[in-house]
Amino acid sequence: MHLIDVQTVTKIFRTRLKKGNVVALDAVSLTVGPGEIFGLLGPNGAGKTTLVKLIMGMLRPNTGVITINGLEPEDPRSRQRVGFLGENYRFPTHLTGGGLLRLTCRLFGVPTSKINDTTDHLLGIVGMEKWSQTRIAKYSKGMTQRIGLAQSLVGEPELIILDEPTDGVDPVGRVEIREVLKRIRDGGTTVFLNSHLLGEVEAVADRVAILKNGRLVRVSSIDELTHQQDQYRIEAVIGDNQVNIPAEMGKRVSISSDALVVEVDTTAQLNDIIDLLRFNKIEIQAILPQRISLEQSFMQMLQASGDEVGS
Amino acid sequence: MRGILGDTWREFVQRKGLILFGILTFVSILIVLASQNLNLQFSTEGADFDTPLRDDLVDSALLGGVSVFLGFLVFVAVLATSGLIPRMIERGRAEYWLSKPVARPTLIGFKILAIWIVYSGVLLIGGVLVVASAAAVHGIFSSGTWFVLLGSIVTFFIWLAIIAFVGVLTGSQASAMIAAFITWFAQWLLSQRDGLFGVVEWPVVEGIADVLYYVLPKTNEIGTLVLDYAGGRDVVTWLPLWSSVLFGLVLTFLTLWRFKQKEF
Repeated sequence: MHLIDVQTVTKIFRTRLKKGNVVALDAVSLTVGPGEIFGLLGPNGAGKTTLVKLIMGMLRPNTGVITINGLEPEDPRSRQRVGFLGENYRFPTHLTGGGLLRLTCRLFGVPTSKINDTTDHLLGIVGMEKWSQTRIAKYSKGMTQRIGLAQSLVGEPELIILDEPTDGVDPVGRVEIREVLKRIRDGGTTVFLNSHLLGEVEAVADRVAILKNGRLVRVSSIDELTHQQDQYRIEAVIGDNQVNIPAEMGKRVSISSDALVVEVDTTAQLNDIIDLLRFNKIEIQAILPQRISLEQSFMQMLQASGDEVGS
Repeated sequence: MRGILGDTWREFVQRKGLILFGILTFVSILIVLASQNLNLQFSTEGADFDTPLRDDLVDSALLGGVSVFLGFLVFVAVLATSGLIPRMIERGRAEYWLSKPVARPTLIGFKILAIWIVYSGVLLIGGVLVVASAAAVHGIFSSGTWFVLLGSIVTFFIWLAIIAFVGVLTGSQASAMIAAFITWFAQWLLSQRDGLFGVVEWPVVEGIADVLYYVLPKTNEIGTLVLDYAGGRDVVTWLPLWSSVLFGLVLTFLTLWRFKQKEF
C-alpha cells in the first residue's frame, strides 16, 4: 500500500469574482511508497505548498481523493504516524525547545512516563541538547528548523513531510539539516520533501515530482532526470591529443586532457569512438553516461514547455 | 487536554499575565487593608441603626466591592485572551497544531476550555484573596460571595465564547475585541430599550430590539441578578443568566463547527 496516494486532485481557490479563481492544482496524481525520499519540485506558485497542505488535511480538494496510509486526511488517525514541518513554521514562542517537544509528545499521546526520554532522545538527534531550556523566541532560524525537525519525529513517524525545511537557513544550517535528513532516511522513515533548493533534493531524494502551474510535469527517479540520454563521458589519458571524431561516429561535445564528452545516437557509434581512441593509443579509464545536475534537468524541462521559469 | 492546558498556562505566565493579575489583586488587597482605618458612622437624625441592618449594609458593600473587582478582572481577562485564538491560528502556527493527530473540534474546544480554566482560576484566586483579606480586616464574610465569584466565571465564559468565535472567524485580535465591545454596548443599549422606545413610536425597530435583547447575552444584568441573589433579595427573573449561558454555548458550538470547516 502507498503511504501517500493522491488521485486526480484539483484545488481551486475561489475569489468573489469568478474571473479571479485560481487553479492551484489541476488533476494531480502521485504516489509515495514506504522507505523512499520523495522530492516535490517546482517554481514559486507551482502549487507545491498547496499539495502539502491538502495531504495534511489543512485544505480540502475540489475534486479527487487523497489518502495517507489508506485514511483520508480529515481523519486525525491519518496523522498518528506522520511528522510535519511546515513552510515558515512558527512555534509557540513562549515555549522552550524542550517544552515544545513535550507539548508535541502530549498531542501525539506519548505516555507521560516516556515523554522526558523521548524529548532527550529527539534533542540528541538534532543536536539541540544544550538549548532545550532556551525559549524558542531566542533561537536562530537554523535552530528553529532543527527543533522543528525534532518535533516532526515525535511518535516514531513512518512518514515525514517537510515543506521547505531549509528555507531562510544559512549554508551551515542547511548542511546540519541535511545531515539530520540523512539520519532520518537511514532509519527507514519515508520522507516527502518539498523544496525549491534543487541541490538539497538531489543530495537526498530517490524520486521527484515536478509541478508547474498546478500541473504535474513529471514524476521520475533522480537517476532518470539527471541522465543525459545521448551523451557519454570517456575518461582517458588524452593529454594534448586533439581527437577528431568523424561526423558519422557522432559529435564531440567537449574535450580536456583527461576526459572526452561525446554525443552519439547509437551504442555502435560509441563503440566506434572507443575503437578510434584505442587506435590512437589513448588509454581509456572509464566510460560513464554523462550526467547533468538536477537543476540543469529541471530548467531544461521547464523551459521546454515554453513558459518563463520562476525563481 | 493536559498538553493544551499546560501550554495555555505557560503562555499566560510568559505573557506576564500572572504579574498583571497579581498586581491587580495586590492593589485590591491594599485597598481593603486601608479601609480598616475608615470610621463609618451609621446614623440617621441622631438614631443609631440596629446591628442587623448595619451588617446588611456592610455585607452589601462587601459584595458590591467584590463584584466590581471581579468585573474589572473579567474585563482585563477579556482583553488578555482576545488574542490567544487568533495567535493560535495565524499562518505558520496553525500548521503546527493542525498537523497533530487531534480532531479539529477537539483542538479548538480544548483550547477554549483551557483558556477558561486558567483565567477563571486566576479570577477565583484573586477574588478569594480579596474576600479573605476583607474577612480578616473587618471580620465579615458573606456566603453570597461564592455566587458573585461563580457569576464572574460564567460571565467570563460568555465573553470568551464571543472572542473565540470572532477570533476563529476573522483570525484577528482587533476584530475579537471590537466584537466584544459592540456586544457590551449593544446589551447596555438593549437593556434601556423600554426607555428609548417609550419616547419614539417605532414598532418595527422596537420588535427587532426585543429579539436582539433576548438573543444577545446580558452580562450586566447577570451581575445585578447575582448580587440580588447573593444579598438574599428576590430575583425577578433568571432569564438574563440562562439565555446568556445558552448564547455562549451556541456560539462555542458554532466556533467548533467553523474551525472544522475552515481552510488554512
